Amino acid sequence: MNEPEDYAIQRLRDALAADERVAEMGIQVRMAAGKAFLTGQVATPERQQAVGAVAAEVLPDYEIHNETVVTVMADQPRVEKIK
Amino acid sequence: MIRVAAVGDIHFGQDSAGTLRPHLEDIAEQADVYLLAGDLTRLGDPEEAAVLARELRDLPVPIVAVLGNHDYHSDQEKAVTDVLEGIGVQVLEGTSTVVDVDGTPVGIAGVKGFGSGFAGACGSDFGEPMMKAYVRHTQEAADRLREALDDLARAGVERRVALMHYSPSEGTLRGERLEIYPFLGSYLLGEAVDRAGADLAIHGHAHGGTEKGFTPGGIQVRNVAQPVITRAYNVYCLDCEKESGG
Repeated sequence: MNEPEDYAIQRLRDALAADERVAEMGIQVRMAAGKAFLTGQVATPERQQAVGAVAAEVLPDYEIHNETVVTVMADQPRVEKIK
Repeated sequence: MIRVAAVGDIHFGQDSAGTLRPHLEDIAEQADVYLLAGDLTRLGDPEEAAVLARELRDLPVPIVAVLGNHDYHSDQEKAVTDVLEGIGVQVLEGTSTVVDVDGTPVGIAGVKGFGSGFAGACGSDFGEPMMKAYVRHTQEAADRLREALDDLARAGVERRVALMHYSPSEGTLRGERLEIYPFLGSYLLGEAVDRAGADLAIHGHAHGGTEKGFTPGGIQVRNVAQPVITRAYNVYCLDCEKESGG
């Protein structure tokens, strides 16, 4: 019996948190028709690349779609008056 | 006018060198103090903290921080703290500090905090030892935060900011999945802020949340997790309305 997708999703999320190349807890994983779609933000291009690598290692039977984005910092802060 | 710059969840690693400092060069023109709301490193490795320390060294404004859950991952939180304190960052954990802003003392009380959820949908101090330990850890953090805020009030510090990693409000979690709220914050932290009083509460941790919220007692809360604010910091200005006559 193939592993239910729910377990595979959580196995990957656990790996993304535990793997020192990534250490991310905020990556969302969805699956459909043999494909795994990864979304969320990461801090650097290196970590974005690592997300895809870890996913491919953990879920070799799935087509990995690494749709994570690298957080881009805007130049100027927003200033808010607190009342 | 008191200008509080804040960010959290910068998750520094070896690959982060040079990513923050360029955004901080004019911070003294924008802010009077820089708050870091935890998850300063990826794995809680002191070497990661050293990368961050090189970015923060000699910044022209005081820096005050709390640690986050990532900073505890390697069981080296003391070493991470030492690295940051070595370049002058004040790292709070159930403690407070006072920053002088043009003659006005501004108190910052900080604690990492912890989860347990929000009133009506939270863990209780009941049942198995592990469940009780989970809730009690949060209660103890909230108690230390309240005591630190009270200490500031007793010392006559009128302008006070509560700094946490975990969230004291549900409002700033909107966007996150409801199921994980108990891992993102606790009403106990909000209750501590409300009972002691503060001008502003700052937190991080909720990358998928919302910047603006408030405690049940009406105190403004800001989630400054970097994926939320997408900046090196945002600035929250206390007493600006008064000075501008607004």
